[in-house]
Amino acid sequence: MRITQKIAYFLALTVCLPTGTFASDPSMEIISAKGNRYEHKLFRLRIITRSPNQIAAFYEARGFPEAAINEVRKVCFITIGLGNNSSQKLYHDLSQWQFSDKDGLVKRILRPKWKKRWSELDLEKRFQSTFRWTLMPEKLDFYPQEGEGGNLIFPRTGKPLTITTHIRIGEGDKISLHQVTFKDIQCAIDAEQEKTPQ
Amino acid sequence: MKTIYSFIILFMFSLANTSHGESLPIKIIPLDKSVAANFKINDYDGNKYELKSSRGRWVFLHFWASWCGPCRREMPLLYKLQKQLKDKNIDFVLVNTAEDEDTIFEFLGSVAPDLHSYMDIDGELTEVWQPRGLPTTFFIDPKGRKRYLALGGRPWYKPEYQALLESMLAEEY
Repeated sequence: MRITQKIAYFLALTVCLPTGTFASDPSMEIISAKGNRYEHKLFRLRIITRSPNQIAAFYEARGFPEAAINEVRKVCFITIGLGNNSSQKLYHDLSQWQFSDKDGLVKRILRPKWKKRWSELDLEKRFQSTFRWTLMPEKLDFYPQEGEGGNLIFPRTGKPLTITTHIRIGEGDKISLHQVTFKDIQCAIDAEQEKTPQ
Repeated sequence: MKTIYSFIILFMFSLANTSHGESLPIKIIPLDKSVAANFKINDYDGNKYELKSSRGRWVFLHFWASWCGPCRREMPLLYKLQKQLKDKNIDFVLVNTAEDEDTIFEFLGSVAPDLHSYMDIDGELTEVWQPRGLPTTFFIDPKGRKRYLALGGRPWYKPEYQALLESMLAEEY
């Protein structure tokens, strides 16, 4: 292969593949989860969708002001639980996860955007802190048997989401890579909304 | 026969040399022994605590919030543990993350009325310590060094955790 062809091939791969090392790794275990829980011998994953009323009740009970409650009501909260069942470190990095609906990739509403919004609303620091602690860590190396959880937040579109998680366990020649896909994750709506014809 | 005796002696010797640092209970992580930065914090009655006032004693530095399920479950255990260790060389410093005094007072009143907590009103101390999640406990030794991290709520009454605490408190400084 000529050098220019090699460069073109490399560039094509770089452009076409999603970011990170996961997508191109042939040794990765590909899993399609049934339902919203997946238990592997090395890790466990759980996805729970929260309705606006549930989320509002949670933050109201923490004393959040109405303006902040209105903000969290508008969006879609999905709580993730991730646990390390293995005896090695599990490396979690949300930038390696993918979220999509039938129209393509869906972007999460990230921490800087919330920070800006809370600042516009002049939300007290203590509420901002509590809010941050209820989000899923962006990146974390899980110790053996450690479990953590938190919320991911998306715009509310009404379209079911596909969530593709990527998990790396171990180091050196003992690395194992896992891709778990959860399909048809529908943002929860309030019970009264369910009964009302749209 | 001689080989077996040698093996037994070696085995016994290796057991005697196993410190708690090498056989820690589940979800107890050894830390790098770096010196913890001093901090000051108030409780809901306005009483002040400063980390450096605990020099010469162990510190059980525990971050929690009333909204976190594992924190709620662990509180009664912490109360029992604190009672058990009240005459030992350890200070229990509970730090509530970013809740107001009514919430803390009401919550502790319902789960462990005699437990005392400090208030990280703005959540800033919690940001500095960066617990991996809530609850998280840091053990700081009498020299002010970060020694262990306990992930999540721990069953402190279990023999392996009791053994760790005993062994820590038996260390000479």
